[in-house]
Amino acid sequence: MANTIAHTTPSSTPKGAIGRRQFMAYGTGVIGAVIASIVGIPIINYFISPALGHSQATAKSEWKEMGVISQFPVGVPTKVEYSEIQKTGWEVAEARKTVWVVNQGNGQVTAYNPRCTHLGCAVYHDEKANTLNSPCHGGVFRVSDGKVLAGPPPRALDTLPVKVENGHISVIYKDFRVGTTEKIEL
Amino acid sequence: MLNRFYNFLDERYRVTPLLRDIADHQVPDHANPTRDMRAFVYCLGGISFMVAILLFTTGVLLAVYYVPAPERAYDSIQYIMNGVAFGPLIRGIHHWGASLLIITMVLHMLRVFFHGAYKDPRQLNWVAGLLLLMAVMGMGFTGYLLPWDQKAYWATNVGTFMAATVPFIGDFIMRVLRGGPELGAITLIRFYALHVLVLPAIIGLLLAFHFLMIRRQGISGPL
Repeated sequence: MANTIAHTTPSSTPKGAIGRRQFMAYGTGVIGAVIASIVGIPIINYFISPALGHSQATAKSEWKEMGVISQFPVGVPTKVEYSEIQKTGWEVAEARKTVWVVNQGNGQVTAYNPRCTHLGCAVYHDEKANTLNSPCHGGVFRVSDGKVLAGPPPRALDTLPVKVENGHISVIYKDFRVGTTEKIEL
Repeated sequence: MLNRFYNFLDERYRVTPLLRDIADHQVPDHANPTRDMRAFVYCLGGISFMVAILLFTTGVLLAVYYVPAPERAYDSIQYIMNGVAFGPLIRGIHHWGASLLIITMVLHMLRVFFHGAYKDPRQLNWVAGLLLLMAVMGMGFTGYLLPWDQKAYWATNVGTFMAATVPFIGDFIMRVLRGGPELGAITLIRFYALHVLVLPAIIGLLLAFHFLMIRRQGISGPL
């Protein structure tokens, strides 16, 4: 009995039609795919879910006091460091932030995110040439407007929102995507 | 497309005989639950293996977020439970599966015992099974500490003090388990290493022997 059921001859199905054997094979494949996705979707979600959230910096988009404008030399970038509480997953810790502040004179102030726009290395001040340089791949930025003078960076240094009130400079810290010609906030 | 890839592999590595060996492997009538539901007792070993695979998979996933350090372990688990999609599901399967595996393994062992299936010529497979049970209980003991909550801490406190009651070398065993006289950071990280690296390797090897032996000898005959 069992044998006659299992061995239906292929010739009993018309050419081009799906035979019983093929149908069972496809059906098994479909059921297998359903089971695989039932197992796979939670696993993939579990792995990638923290990647889908936005940055959990608690003090995000708040004005941060940088200092009094008279303390900043004109035409030269000044490195301002501060720390803020940052939450990443289960960890709540102080994260150190750096902002480059340039006193342009006449009350104008420019603030730069310290990340090189090429691949995100922190820029430093080359005092001889008075440029902001990346230590990684030779990116060189002009101090006055952040324009790329040399190296691979695709766009100028990222400026941050800045305001001067009663001589006090405040900045909103933001991070941007690196490696792109447009400035896209993270 | 799939066929051509299969043929490519088969021409080079002759995989068909291997697959046929698995697909054509016959289950003896007396061990086939589709003929007699009571033969389901023969499935307990396979069920244990399936549970072990579940534990292995969910364990790998838990290791994605878990941190084996005293000041981080509890918080990282809270994050799995509250901050990660399907985190409670993954941890729940690992938690309940751990108890389930002990249950299915003991039932498997009872079946082998009452059928006398451990007897000559299968003695070594019985020994391999016992070693597996010990390794899995080691998994239970080391895994119990990892949540680093009150229950975990005090259970390991008691467990390691039990080891200390062994005559002469007890104190030494306890210190080795704890990585010192006190239960703390060193204990947690070594239990983690045992739980995710050492014991899984031992269990993998023992399972390979367990399966190779049963495949070579076949399962024991009907009562």
